[in-house]
Formats: sequence, structure tokens, C-alpha cells
Amino acid sequence: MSGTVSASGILQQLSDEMAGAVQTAGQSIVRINARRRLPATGIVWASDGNGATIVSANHVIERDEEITVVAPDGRELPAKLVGRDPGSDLAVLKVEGAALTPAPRAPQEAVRVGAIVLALGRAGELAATIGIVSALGGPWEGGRGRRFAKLISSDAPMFPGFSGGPLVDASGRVVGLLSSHLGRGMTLAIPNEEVERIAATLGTHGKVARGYLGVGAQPVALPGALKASVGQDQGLLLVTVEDDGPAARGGLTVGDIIVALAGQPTQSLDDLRTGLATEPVGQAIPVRILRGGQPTDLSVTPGEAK
Amino acid sequence: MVSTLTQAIGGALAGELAALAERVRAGVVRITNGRGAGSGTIWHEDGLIVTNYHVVPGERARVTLTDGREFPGAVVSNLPERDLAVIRIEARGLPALPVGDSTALRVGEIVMAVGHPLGVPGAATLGIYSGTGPIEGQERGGRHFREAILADIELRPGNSGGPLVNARGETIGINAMVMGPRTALAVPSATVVRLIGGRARRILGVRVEPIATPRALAARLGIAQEAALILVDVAADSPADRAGLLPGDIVLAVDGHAIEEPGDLAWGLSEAPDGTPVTIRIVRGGAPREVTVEAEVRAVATAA
Repeated sequence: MSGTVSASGILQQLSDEMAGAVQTAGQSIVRINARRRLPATGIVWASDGNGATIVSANHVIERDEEITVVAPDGRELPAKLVGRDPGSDLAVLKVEGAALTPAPRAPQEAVRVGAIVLALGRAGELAATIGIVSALGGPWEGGRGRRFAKLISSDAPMFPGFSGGPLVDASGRVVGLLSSHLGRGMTLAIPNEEVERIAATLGTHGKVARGYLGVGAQPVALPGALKASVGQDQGLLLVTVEDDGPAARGGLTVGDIIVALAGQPTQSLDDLRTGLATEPVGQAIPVRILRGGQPTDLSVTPGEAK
Repeated sequence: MVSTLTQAIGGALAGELAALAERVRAGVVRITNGRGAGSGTIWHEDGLIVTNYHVVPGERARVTLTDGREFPGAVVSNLPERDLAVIRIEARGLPALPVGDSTALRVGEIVMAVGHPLGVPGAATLGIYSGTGPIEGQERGGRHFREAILADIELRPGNSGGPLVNARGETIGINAMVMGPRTALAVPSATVVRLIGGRARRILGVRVEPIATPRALAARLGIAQEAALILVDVAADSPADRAGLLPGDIVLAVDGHAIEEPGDLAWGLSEAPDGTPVTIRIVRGGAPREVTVEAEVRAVATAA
């Protein structure tokens, strides 16, 4: 056993590996010039023969045009704004005709509380700070009506210009995208899968539509027998249903109790909002309700929140 | 469930960190100047101590070693622009820390600071080398930190002058400034080496003012830098005078290093190897030209 652990040099090895992780991740981290003062950071998310897709934080993209991206090798390249989502503070840029190195990504299960992570930015030269994953929180109620099913919080400090950059693991794999606008002074990152989902929507539509049902609801405790058969303590009682709204068209009516949306239990208004924020607008999703004490499955097509 | 391997690695790591802190602590001194206290780094066994200029703005200070011995110290060299001061004490065989090469640092390397934050003796804090900025508010109180080491390390008043070391325990910086929570700046060891070697004290004999590069000039000559220095005085019989520099000359670069703020001048001059003249790029009367100057080493600057 002791043979596998050298008597000295573990600290040096760890130090070397950290520097290696920064170097690895750094190949996919770009500087973004899209605001007046300090530049910010972006992550090369994908790259093919047509060009590279860069993800960054929405709030650092202050202008829609004359955006440039500085690649790790120092080339300054013009970039186009593909779309932005103030709701999640994500933006997607496209650099046409340039092949960049897409960032390696850590699988979701590799992101655990206590894991060593590095926060990276390239507002100037590449910079990094170290910490651990402090919490995997969710759902998270950010300021300005922001909602996330999950956010990664870390004690690695964020320096100015780190927004739009990655939180990476000890191997240099991206675990999430940093934004200083998500929490006051806290280091928070949007997990990869969420970045992927929103980036895909922005790539197709240029914006992220938030789902809307046209109902007023309040949480209610389910009576004992129902609690057991449904497998949860609470549901959402519809107290208003807008005429000809998405819910009404799906057959929902006042007095129905929503217990699940798209297969996810709805026990609080937060659960409903998270479900609507997560599911694509304009596509039918299953909704399970209790009507007269009987579980009933219907289908609703959320509209776009105005 | 923590595996035996993890326990072994964790234990070994903790042991190495403790040994590192212990080793570094021996090379850290306490410095008092009558008004306050700071830290210092033993640079050479023969009594050379490096600290910050703001810890010792005068000519003398008292130096206390980790073993409790106390010595009077005399400032032998300093560089206010880089917040550095070098003190000599009459002692031999001191536990000097090995000096590392700050120019070889890789972002992400583990670094440790040791000093006397808020008077706590020999406190160690850990982080990584974060890079070189940019950090907003990098200039405070006239001290320039263009060539500074940024670390995500916790420093407090009293840490100033103490060493920032790498995982091998080599001094790669002198802790100089708290920028915020877990945001610290250190003066690179390479700057200290230049100061001790005399190179950082090279002068031209000029007074300068910072200016914004005139737009028309920048466009016409293809100058990218937004700021430069203008000579407002050239001392008689100084290196600048002998080289033919004149008041009104706009200084853009020294040996290819862009000169954008007053602190850059001393830095640019110190970059040249010993015994070689420097080439200064200027604009005079709207035309660019290059001037070769033999810089001189000046005496120690002392607080007014």
C-alpha cells in the first residue's frame, strides 16, 4: 500500500497536475471583447468545419455587433451573436471559418461536493483560482426572476472578467459556466447539461422562451389515501384557469390538482415554474392531475410567457 | 467510505504541507520600524533581508528572527515603484529560503504565503498562482503592479514583505498587497533579483508625465498603445542628456517593452542585461526615432 504513495513529492505532483489542468482547459478558453471596460471570458463549446460555437455570460455581451473573440493563440477573430438568454445569463457566439479546440466536459456524476475545482478566466492573460465544489443546489432562485433546476456553488474566488469562463475539475474538464450575476459575491456555475440545453435552444431560436400554462394554483396537502396512491404529500390546486389558455385547451379545469408535469412531481409552485422553464415551449407534455380523487393523465402544450 | 489509499495520500499531503510551512517559517522575519510591523524574507544567509518598501519607507528597521534573535537593520537598496526594500543585518548562517524563478510559474501551481498577518506569528495560507491579471485597481497609493504575481490566497496586514513560495519551498514572490478576499498581489522574485543585482535601479535622469497617445499620431504611425510618457525634464549631464533626449520627446518603448505608465520606465531599463545600452523608441516632432542610452545605477531612494 505504502509503495503506491511516495514518501515525498505528492504536493509537487498535485501542483504540476493543477497547472496541467489549467493548461488543458486554457486551450478552449477565449477572451471576449463585447463591452466597454474589462473584457470577459468564453468557452469553446463546439467546433467543426464551419466554425466554432462559444458560450459565455449574457451580461458581459453589452453590444450585439462588433464582437471579437481572442483565441488562446492570440488571434483576434470576429464573432456573431447567435442568441442570448437574460433568464439564465447565457449567450452563444459563433466564430465562422475558424476551428478552435472544444472544451472537454466532465460528466454530471463526476461533479461532487468536495471535489477540487478551478475557476478560470481570460479577461487578460489566462488566470485561475482554486476551491472545492461547496454545494450542488437546486432549484435555485436567482435575482431578476432567474430559476435553475441546479447550480454548482464553489469557494474558488472569481476575479473581474471571469464571467463566461468555466469552472473545471482537477483534470481540466469543464463542469459549468461561471457568472457573477447569479449570486451576490458567490461563485456560481451553470452545470454543463443546462448550458448544453440552453445553447441548443439559442442555436435554433436565438432566444429561450419560458413556458406558460395560464393557470393560478396553490399547493394543497393531499388526503391520506391519495398521498399513498400518488406517492407525494402535496399537489397544486388550480384556482383559476384562463379561458382558451394552454391549460384550458389541454382540458384542465378549476379544482384539478396537478401532481406531476412531464413526469416530475409538482409539490410546490417552484416545481411548476422549474418544469415550465425546463420543458420546450410549443411541445405537448404530459400532465398528471387528480380530479375528483382520481388520477388522470392529460396533455398540455405550454405557450410562451410574455 | 475513505479508502486506505486516499488516507495515505491525504496523510502524506498534510505531512508535506506541514513540513513546507515549517521550513518556510524559519526563513521569515518580523520587521518593525517604530510605526508598525510587517514581515521579511531572508534572501541570503549572509544577512540580506527582502521586504516591502511600505514596510520600511525609511533607512532603518528592527529585524526579529524566528528563533527570537533581534538585529538592527539598515536599508541598502529599495525600489518604491515596485514596493521593494532590501535590508542588511550583521549576521551569518541565516536560514535563507531558496530563490525560485518567477518567470517559470505556471497558472494553477500551488503556492503558500507565510508571514505575520495581524501579528499572528508565522501563519501560512495556501492557494494557487492565479496569473498576472488584469485586476481592477491594480495601482494604489502610487505603487505600480504591472508585473505582479496574482494569487488566490488570503493575506492580511502584517503579511507584507513575507515570502510566497512554490511547492518546492522556493521564494517566487514577496507578498505586497491585499486586493480583496482571497486576492493577493506579490512582487515577483525576478524583480527582487534585478533590484539586488543593481539593474532595477538604473536611471536615465529624466522626469516624465503620463499622456494619452495622440490619436492622429497613433493612426499615422500605426501605434497600438493607448498611453505613453512625455519627458518634462532632462537633467544636465545625465545619461538621457548625453544621449540627446529632449523635453517634449514622447517615450513609447524601451528595448521593445511598451512604456505606458511611469513605473514601466524603471522596469524596461532593468530588463536589459548588465553592461548593455538600452534602445529607447521615441516620437519627436511627429517622427519616430530610436535613441541608444547607457543608463546609470542610482543611489538608494529614501522617504522624504
